[in-house]
Amino acid sequence: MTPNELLLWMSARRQGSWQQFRGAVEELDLMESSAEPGTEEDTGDRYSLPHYQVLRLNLQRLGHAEFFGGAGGSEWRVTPPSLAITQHSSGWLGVVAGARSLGLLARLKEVASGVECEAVPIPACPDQLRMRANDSRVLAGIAEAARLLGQPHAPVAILMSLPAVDDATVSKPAQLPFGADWRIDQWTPDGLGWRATRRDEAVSAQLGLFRFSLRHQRHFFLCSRGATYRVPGQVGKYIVLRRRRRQVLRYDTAGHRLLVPASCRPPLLVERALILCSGLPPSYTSGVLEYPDVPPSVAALAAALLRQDLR
Amino acid sequence: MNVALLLIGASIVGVFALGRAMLRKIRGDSRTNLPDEALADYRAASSSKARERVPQEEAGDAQSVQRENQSPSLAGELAVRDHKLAPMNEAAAAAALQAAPAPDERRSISTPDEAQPLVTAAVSVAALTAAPAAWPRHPDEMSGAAISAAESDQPHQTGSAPQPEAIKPEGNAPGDATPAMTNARFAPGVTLAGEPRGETSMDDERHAEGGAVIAPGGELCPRSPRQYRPTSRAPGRPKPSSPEREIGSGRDRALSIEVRLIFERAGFCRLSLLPRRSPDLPEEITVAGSGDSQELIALQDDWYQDVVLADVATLLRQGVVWVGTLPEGRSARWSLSGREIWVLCRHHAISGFVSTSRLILGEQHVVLCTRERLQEVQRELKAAGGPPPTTLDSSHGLPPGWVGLRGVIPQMPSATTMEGDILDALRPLADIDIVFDGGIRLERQTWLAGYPPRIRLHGAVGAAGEVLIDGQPANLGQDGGYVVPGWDSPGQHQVWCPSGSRTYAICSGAEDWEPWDAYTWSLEERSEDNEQGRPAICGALVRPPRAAPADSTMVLVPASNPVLIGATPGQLHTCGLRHDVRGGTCIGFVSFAPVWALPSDPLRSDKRLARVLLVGDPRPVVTPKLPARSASGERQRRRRTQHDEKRRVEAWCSAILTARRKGLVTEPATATVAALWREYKMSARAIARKLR
Repeated sequence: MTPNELLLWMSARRQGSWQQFRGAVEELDLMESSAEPGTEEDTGDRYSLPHYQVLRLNLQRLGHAEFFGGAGGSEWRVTPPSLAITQHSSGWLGVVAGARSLGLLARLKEVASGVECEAVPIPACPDQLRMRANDSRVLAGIAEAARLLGQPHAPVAILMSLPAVDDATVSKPAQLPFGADWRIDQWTPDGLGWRATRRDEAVSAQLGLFRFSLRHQRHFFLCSRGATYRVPGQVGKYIVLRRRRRQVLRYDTAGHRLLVPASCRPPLLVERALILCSGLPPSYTSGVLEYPDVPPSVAALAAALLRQDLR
Repeated sequence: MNVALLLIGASIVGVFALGRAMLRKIRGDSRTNLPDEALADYRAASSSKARERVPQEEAGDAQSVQRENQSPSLAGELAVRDHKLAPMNEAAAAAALQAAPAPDERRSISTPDEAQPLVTAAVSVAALTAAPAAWPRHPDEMSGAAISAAESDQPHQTGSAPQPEAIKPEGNAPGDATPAMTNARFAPGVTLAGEPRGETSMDDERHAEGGAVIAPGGELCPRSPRQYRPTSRAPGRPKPSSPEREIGSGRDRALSIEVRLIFERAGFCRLSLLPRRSPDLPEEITVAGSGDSQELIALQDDWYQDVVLADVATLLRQGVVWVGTLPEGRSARWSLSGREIWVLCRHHAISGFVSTSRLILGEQHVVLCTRERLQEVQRELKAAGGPPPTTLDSSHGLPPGWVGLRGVIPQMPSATTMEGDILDALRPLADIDIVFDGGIRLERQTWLAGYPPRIRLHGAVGAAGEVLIDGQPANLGQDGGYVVPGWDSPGQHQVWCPSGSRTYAICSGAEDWEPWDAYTWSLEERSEDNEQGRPAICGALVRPPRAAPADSTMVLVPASNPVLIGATPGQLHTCGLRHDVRGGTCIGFVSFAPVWALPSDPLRSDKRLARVLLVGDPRPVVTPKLPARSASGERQRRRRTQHDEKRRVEAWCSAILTARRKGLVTEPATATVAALWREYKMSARAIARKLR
């Protein structure tokens, strides 16, 4: 079985618990260890992330499903079928995201016969269905005929709906955990990696991102002059990079590629926007994630949210 | 003569008396020496079991809970029944002990094998005389002392014996109800120490039923793990069913632990232990016992996530017992009996190969065995037929001392031994089972339409006879599964073969999915409820803010032209600009179809750069419905609405006329677009005049 069947299973059930999701991954025999670039240094295991986590992250990044806090009361919930439309210099690209069924795929195949349409197989992801047209109205018409929800300018629209990493609402005041069992690491913007540290260093830090790990629990805290804030890990990294004025994003203007160090993978929804530009997840080469076909406006907006200057 | 007769009589009486005295002495030996020692063990067993039970009851042991949940009358009846049984069982145990060999006799027995039948025979008498309520299920129900009394010489008993401190009898007062009840419940457990075992699956459960003892500190400690005992095929003694037995069968039994093997990349494999989970168990629980303490995390509803142990080589031989404390204080136990040969095959709900009781004909297996058993295993597998398996060892990830045989597909059934042998696991039975595999399963027996299961037979397929699906003779399809016309259509279906039948259902999945506000003003965490004015994200969709009209749609325009103009006068919306991000774009949610996007302040804009943008369909101006004159009180009610409408129309006109005053050009710079903009300007001017 492949992740296509997993998405069909999720779509048929609409929503469910984490155990059900893991059970489906087991039953569909999708289990195998996978290297997950950019997250290995966050997992405690440098070499692999459990495959069900890779599948979960990929489904989230591609916009097929939301998990946990975003799942509207469930532990996972599949999003409605939609066509994310993006303008490129060569025309318009539509990427199918969300729920799938055999009926929907048949409708899509029927109505999209007039445009360039492809199913791109991607490891540990459902096949990405992409279609190209010279006019956005053609794609909007396909979406309507196939009963998909059209989302014009999806990447920009998503990015415009997100706060910047240093927005006050992103960081929540918190207190550092105490206890000898916690493993504490500090993220270093120079090496873009984690190093072991102690709690008192976190308390007295001028500015630092600290990771508290206990078994499978992992919490990230931004400590700044005695104040402590709970932040998503990837968000915290960009806050530290901003304070240190370290620029890590690079944009290939000619190739429309956005390059990010793997350890500085953008936060979930920023990455979703970048992926929807092409419908393809980033490729990983020598410690760098490469997001293809990112229009300059999207790259600029993503960089602005991450408080980075594009180089 | 009389004197002589008297002397003779006296000597006869004396001889009788002497004989009685001697007989009494003989009996006295057997009643004082042996029973005292054995009874001490027996009482110790009873007392220690009582100690074990008390904390369990305090902690809400499952059995206690079960009893409490029963009606008061039934609970009371059970208590009375237990009390009534106590004397009878004491007597039965005493009879058994009387029948047991004397200590001297025991000492004279040189080997454990010789001793075991005698002890077993002795205690079996008590078992037979005991009430049904006291039928034991496993020697683990005995305390350590009882085991040491009855089983101390068993060669298969492995692992560390319970500490004497843990089983030291309490000073129960004579006549105290607790020991009496305990005796009734547990003393006969001694009696079946050497009895043949039941089925394998039950055996594992039995092993673990008494899988914990109370340490001196009151701490719950797991028992030492058990060795696997193969299933005996010999007919067992019929066991009468009784209410007590039914209640007993509902006890808090140990959950099983399976062995799992997953093949990873490059032929490397990973061996792990997979603990079962029941619905009442938490998602996370810390267990202690064999090996290091482990934190079990739910994998799915029926399983905890598998655990990779460092010393798995030893634990596979010796077995595993884990005990965890539930939040409400009860304990949960897991058990895996140790053995030297493991048979693993595909599982319908778990990927990889999972331990099973024996080989199944025609199925693919992996057999794990110790290096010492390899030759025997290979011999049995050869007898079972099938392709020669591939050998795995520690270089493939198996624990040291263990060998794996991959690709075992037995083809021929083999006869098993009557007395039970570990090698019986390698002798497949000629049973036939209907199996559903593959497809997309939505519920227990329900598959998604378009992805039905493959219907196959397990076992001696050649002798299966005819297979029917929905009453029609089935044929083998291309994928090796049985099919008939309509077998995969939505609805209920039944598969039948001479050895049994199974049902399955095919149904359509959901076809409608509603969007929701998954993230509102958040980068990846849970949304805040106070962000009513922000757009939300759901998958690839951006949804309007909750404060926006329900029918509003998203519009994206350059930040330089945030004012949206529709075709109907009054249709005007100004998009909010983000000052924290210089994206050059702004987003708006409007309930009309915008035609133009204008600069927010055309008079102050750079005429060389500022434009009037056509952002929608080039629709002409819709003639406004001017407010009709009302003669009644309705005018009063409508006045405010009309006033608002008028202000909106004025604003619409003003925005267009201001852009016109500046002389901004249109974009796209085509004649058609320019003509349309002229029409808008003229209409705005005319409407503005009317409104003055």
